[in-house]
Amino acid sequence: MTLFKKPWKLTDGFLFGGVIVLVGLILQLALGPVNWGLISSPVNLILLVLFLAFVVAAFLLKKRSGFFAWLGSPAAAVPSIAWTLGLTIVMGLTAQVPSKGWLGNMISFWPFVLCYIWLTVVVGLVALNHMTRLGRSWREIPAVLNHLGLFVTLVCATLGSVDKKELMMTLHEGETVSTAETEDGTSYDTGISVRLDDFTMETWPNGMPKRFASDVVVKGKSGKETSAVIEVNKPLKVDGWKMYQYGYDEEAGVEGKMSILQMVKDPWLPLVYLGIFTMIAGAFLMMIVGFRREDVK
Amino acid sequence: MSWDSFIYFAAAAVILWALGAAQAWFGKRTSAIINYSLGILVFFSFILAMWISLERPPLRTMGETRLWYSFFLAVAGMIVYSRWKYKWILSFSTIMSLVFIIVNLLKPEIHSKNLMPALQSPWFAPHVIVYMFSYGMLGAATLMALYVLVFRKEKTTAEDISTADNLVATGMAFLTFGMLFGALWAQEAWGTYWAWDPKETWAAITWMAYLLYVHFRIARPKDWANAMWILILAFICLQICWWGINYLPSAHATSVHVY
Repeated sequence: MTLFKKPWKLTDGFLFGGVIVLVGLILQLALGPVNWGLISSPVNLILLVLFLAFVVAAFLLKKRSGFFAWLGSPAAAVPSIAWTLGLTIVMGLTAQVPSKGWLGNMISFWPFVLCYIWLTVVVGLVALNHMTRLGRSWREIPAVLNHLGLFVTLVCATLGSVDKKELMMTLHEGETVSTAETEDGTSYDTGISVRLDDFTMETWPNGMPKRFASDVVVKGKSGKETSAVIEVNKPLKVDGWKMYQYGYDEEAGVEGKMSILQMVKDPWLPLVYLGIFTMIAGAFLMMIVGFRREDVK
Repeated sequence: MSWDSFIYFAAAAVILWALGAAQAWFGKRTSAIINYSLGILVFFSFILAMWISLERPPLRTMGETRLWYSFFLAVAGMIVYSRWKYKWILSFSTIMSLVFIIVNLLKPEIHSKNLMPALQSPWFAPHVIVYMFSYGMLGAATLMALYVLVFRKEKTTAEDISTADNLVATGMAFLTFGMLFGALWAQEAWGTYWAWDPKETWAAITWMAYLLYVHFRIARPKDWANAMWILILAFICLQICWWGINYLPSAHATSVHVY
């Protein structure tokens, strides 16, 4: 029996992925779909600290444990990507409608979630491996940025998604409103009062919408009134919220005097942006440098 | 300028490309590069004229993105030829471009100037152009994979595989730009940088498939045959993401990207 004999090779990695999926299926049967609501703040902050501690500990243990050494190696990267890819393909082929069972709700499907966590651990370890080699060669920079950026993006996008607030504010011309509704219809006092002075809609000659915009006066915490125009692709920032032009009275069309604004607050967004821009910088450098020859020989 | 004049520009470009490709076979590098570049210039002038007459970048419909794809395939072929001197690459990129030109001639999908509000964004042009350039490079990498698997076989050299690696490196970088620009744009337009919309899911799949290639090359550097197969599978994912998704029942009901 050569399986799971150290050091682990690609085949062992593929089997390990199979074990992860199996564990995921057992969890799915035992607990039902992942309940993301359970990890909203402050649980997600605790999870962040624990997760980072785990990755750093795994990195420090790699000299002593063959398993952790493997986890940050290409022999783990390939199977973790392959398994995650496979489950994402399943997601791409099935309509994501939660009423259609497990596969209709992949982002709460335990095997899917566990594979992504596995992938994230590998990415974090590989980032640390490349960082320790930075002193020896500047050619490590693109790999450090690519892995670190992806790690920050995956971790913060996942843990941050549960703290994201999305509200809908319905406005009628001339009225001042400060409440907005959550997705399930609960009313929420935003502390921001908005008066809709004018809703404008322009159409193309064939009647297709060309532009819709809300002319508003907004009063936030500071108590200062500011007038602004909110339109598609041009959101307004107030007290940590971003207000997007979302909907309008579709029946009335151009004549409509109603506007729906979407209010979004995503406290983890700056971290996700940090990750995204790090990845862009990494990709840019990779384009110039190419893959490192000593790696692919 | 309209699609009516496309055939003249396309014919002129293809003739110049065919001339350049023939010269490349006979080792006349300088004249091959000059003629091929002229062809690219002619083709791009049509894109530019369309841009001006439409009063928006021609990037919205499938037909318009195919225009850019033909263009970038030629550009990618040209870059590979001038850097690595494969005499066959210009013929391949010409044939590939020609396929997309013919599809456009038979099925131009003429659309008016109208651009819905969500698409009126400074992110629109870089998002699509970067993706099309990436598709061009990755298309060239796929050709390389087929060339290796069908023609080179045991005679495959380290240089053949390293050409594929280099094409994927560039294509992958642009694929990353395209995906992340899309995320930044979505954040500006809808307040959500990632929503697992089917197009986004397939973009992630495509990205991961090329990621798999890159890491497989590191893990099993000598197993080039399987690496080339991964490239071909990755390109199939790319095609599903680009247009195949329009035919997927799973996507039709829920995607904002079906057009």
